[in-house]
Amino acid sequence: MMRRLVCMLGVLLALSVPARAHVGSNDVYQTVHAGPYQLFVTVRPPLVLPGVATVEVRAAGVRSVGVAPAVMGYKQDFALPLDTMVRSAADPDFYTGTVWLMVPGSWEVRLQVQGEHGTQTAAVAVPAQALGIQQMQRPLGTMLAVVGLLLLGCMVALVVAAARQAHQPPGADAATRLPRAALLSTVAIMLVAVVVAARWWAASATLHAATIFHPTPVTVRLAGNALDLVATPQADNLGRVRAIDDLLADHGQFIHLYAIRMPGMDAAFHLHPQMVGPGQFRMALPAMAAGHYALYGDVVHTTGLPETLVAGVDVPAGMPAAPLAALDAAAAPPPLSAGVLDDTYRLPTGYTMHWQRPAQINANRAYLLAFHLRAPDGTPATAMQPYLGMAGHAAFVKTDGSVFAHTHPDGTAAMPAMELAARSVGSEMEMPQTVTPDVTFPYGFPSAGRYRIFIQMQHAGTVETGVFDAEVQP
Amino acid sequence: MLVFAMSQDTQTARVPWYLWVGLFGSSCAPIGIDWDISWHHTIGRDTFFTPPHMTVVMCVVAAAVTSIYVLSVATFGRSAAAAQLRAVSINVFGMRAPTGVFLAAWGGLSMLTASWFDNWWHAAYGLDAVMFSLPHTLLMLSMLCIELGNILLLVATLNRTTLSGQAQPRGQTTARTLQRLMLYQSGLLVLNMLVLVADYTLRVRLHSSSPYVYCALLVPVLFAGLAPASRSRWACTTMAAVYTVIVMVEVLVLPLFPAVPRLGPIGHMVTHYIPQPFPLLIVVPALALDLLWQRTAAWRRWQVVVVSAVVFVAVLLAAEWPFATFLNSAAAENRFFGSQYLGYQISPGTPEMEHGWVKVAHGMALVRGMVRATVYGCVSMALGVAAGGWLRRVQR
Repeated sequence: MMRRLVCMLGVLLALSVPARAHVGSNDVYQTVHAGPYQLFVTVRPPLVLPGVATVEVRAAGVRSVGVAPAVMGYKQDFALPLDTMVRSAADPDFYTGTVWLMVPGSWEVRLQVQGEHGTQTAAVAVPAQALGIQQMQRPLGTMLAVVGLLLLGCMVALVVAAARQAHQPPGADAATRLPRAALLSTVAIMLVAVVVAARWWAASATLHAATIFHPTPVTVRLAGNALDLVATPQADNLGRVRAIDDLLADHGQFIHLYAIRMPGMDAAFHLHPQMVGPGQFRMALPAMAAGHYALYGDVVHTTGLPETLVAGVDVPAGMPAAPLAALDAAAAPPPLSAGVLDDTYRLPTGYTMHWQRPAQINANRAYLLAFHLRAPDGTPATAMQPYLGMAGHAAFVKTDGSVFAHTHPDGTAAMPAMELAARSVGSEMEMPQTVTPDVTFPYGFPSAGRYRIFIQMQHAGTVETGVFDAEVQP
Repeated sequence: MLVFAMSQDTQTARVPWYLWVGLFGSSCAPIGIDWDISWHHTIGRDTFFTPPHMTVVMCVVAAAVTSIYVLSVATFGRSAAAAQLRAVSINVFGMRAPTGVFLAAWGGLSMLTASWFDNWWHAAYGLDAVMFSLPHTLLMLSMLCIELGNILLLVATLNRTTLSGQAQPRGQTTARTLQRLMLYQSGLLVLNMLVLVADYTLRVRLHSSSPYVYCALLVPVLFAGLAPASRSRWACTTMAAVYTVIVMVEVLVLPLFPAVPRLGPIGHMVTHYIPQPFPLLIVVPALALDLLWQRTAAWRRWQVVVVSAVVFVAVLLAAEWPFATFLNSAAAENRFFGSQYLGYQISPGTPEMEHGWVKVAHGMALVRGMVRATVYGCVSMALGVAAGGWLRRVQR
């Protein structure tokens, strides 16, 4: 039966070649509605799979919250029973729990809420993949090596002593010769055992290393201002190939491309190339300052699994320019070297965007980050419109380029994935009916350091991009 | 000379308390593993602190209690009892204790180290979906050392009792008790070994070669190694009976306790603990070997080895193959044979659900498989015979 489990997991593994949403930002921060209840959900997937993800839910006016995982799109005749999440004694609106994620791929965390409005359900899409292998800490390794050698030595001594004395009748120890055959054969067996164990360990490490996520390689070609991105799937060490011809439209676009000039982060574009073939995207670039741009392209697979394609392009001086498309956005903030941007960003249109910055920001802590768009006279902006179907878009980018997360007011999960998750629990995603100039983004910064935040909102057909800096403490 | 089985003040023979403790620990190990496998077939996910894991840990606790007590008394004690214990001890780096105590202590320390390694392994490579990871194997080998240590302790005591030449009625009673305990402990070892290959001896595989190959590899070494030291005419049968009865009790008892899966995907819903499959009919070749070995005193060793291996494989095949046909039928889906108890991972359409078979061996493939089993059986039997001769003379 254990073999059956392994086979089943193997099938799932084969079906779900891993990809990775965002870059360096693995945790999911999401607000969802379970009927009338609003839940702020944080899911922290494990570093390796199978592993245990922690789930945190903040919900007011509920009596209990149940949680269970499910593989997205995997037909199950029997739903997993829900685990009751633990309610915090200090904060009765805060619940914690865990779910086991067994294979890489697109998962959903199902939540059942009980409260004054009855029992309601919701689901959060969670991409899961092995991100690395935790190296053995030196003290632990040293200790295990020392104890292991000690055990081997003791076993040799024990065998020798037993060969000399175990057959002696009770009483005083009789003098015996060193049992060389026992000594040599035990040492030989121990050495063989060590070699076999070392090779086994190396083989296991190789196998697990093969499951670690590696981004789909992307080649970039820039001819004039014609940008071509070609994502070429490559087989991983297990021979699995991640498909790229299975993309879902996200807000009507197959790819959302952020181009950020590095290292100053003083030019940023939210672009939408056309998909001209499987994994092939093309567009005419707008006017861009010369320099090296980091490219982050968000795509979503039909399984609901998001992936961020990562590349770079050098834009030459004097590059011909196409007009910025209506769906695209651009910003030209001061470079990082000019200092940390403050809480109010003056937009070229005369509008301002204000960040209601928390007093202190710590890594791996969930925040609802609030941004407000103000008209030139300081009043809340009017004629607000959804931008690409959402009240706003945010990109959180660490200044060293190690973190990139493109998120929305509902959270960090990809919208097509959330739609699939919602359907699996019999509900539909609610798109914003009215857009206000006050937008919040659930997010948690994955590590300490400096981040640049790009916020996009639309009013009266104009897309505004506010830019802010955050210093994140450990 | 019955040394530490005799109390000096009353001259009443009795089994030392630490032998009982060791036996308790040895019982916990395979039963805990069986329970743990049942847990994984029923509930799926676990933590270190599940009841089955704690049951297995009792094996280490018992080994620690026994080892610390005997090592300290035999090494540092100044009483007459300590002197008696010292007289039946071996000397390792100045520490004194019977061989079995050293081996059990080594197994306990090794198990603790392997547990630490296993904890890191989970963090580095993920939670286990397989039984045979490197740290799990180290854990199981360590556990086997604890059990072998307990057997050595029992065998040494039994050997001293029977080799003493004293025919005191009370002494004979102790010898019989020791013999029964040793056979029980040996049966636990058989259970432990067969648990290790449980995935390869599933009901749906019993018409393939692999179960017979694995049994031929693992069981004869135990029978041939432990039967001579037990000095029982029915040693193999008793060992196999211990294994059979424990598994049968599990089949009867575990389903009485409700439990549901906590890990997906769920192939079919279960509502109670899923026990191990009905035990393999090891008891039949065991009986055949007991009968054979009562007639082979004058044989050469190689003759005993070869004939015993052939008998073991042939009788096991003759018994298990048709019995598997019955086990894999609807007629065996009852509380006693338990063929309806399948882990939650098993989904409709699989051989387990549909009374099917996996890798059925026919004709020459079956013959080749049985030849392989016999060859392995010969190797296993030869190792057992050599070990048995050594064990029979152990006094310390």
